[in-house]
Amino acid sequence: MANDEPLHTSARSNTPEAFGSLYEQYYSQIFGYVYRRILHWETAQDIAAEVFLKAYKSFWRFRWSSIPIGAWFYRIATNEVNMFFRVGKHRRDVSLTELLDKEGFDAPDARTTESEKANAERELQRSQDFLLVQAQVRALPAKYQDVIALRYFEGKSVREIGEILGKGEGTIKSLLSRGLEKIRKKLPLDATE
Amino acid sequence: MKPDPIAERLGKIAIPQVSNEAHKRRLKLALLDARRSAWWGTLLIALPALFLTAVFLQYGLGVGPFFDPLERFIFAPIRHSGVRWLEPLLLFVLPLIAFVVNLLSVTHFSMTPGRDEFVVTVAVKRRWWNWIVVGLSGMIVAVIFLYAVKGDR
Repeated sequence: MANDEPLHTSARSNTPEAFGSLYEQYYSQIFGYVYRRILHWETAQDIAAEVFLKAYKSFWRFRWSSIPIGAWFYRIATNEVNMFFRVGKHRRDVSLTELLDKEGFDAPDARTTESEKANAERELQRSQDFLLVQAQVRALPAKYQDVIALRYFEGKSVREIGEILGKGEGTIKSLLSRGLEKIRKKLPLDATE
Repeated sequence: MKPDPIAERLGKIAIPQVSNEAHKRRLKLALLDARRSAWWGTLLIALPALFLTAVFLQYGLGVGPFFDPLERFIFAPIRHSGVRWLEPLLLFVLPLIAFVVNLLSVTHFSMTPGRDEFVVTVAVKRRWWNWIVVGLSGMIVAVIFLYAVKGDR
């Protein structure tokens, strides 16, 4: 996460311009994370929109010394994903995407959206091993899903996961170990990709 | 210590990489650009709007506590500063910029080529503050333009 931090100290301000730069830097990571957790294109868009809307609204009081900014975005995204799984598809807040549609900017570049969605679906079809693991991970309680997804799907270190989830490294190691134990029996070790 | 085979296996899986540039652009427009243009637009039209309101109160309604101080402390010094373009810049060019930028931030044009024709779609966004800035800046530009044309005759 430290490598993702803004390089210039001038970028560490709480202005809309600074948020714009951070948005450019983190959108793809956060959207990718949400999509790999949810595996549904439109829902991932709604959740990513919700993440950045919430981040934008509370960015003015973000304290740079408290948590790395990347971890902060991942934390909001993790909370949103868990809320989606807990509350279900039908009781979500009105997303920014829905608001946008209501306000008139309805898919200005629909062909690009469709082509990116199709590319993502093809990419998923090629990653059968990922889908197999993901299905097992999704069957776990949320606390194990979070650590396994962040560690093995997003490539975060134990320290980074601790920053994202606001837990100590020992707790993260323990959750990882117990989470892996739970999927051990269900996952064949010699599957091919 | 022997590595955990399940951890090893998870560490080796190919992770699908996805890109959603269309949504990224669209969301950024909604989050940042329209709000920013409304804020800048408000700043750009503040002084001309104040000036025209004072002119209207003074010459239209005969109420004049605002025009004289504005003229004395802001516009007379500008006029006598020797920079001839400063007054038209403040009263005409900046509101014109506010008008164009805010209008662009709340409208979207897309053109789809068909077999025999082009289908032009105009989408309009309901961001009221941007539309207020568009209305006010358009009015200021029109009034100043008409005054300039009429004044030349």
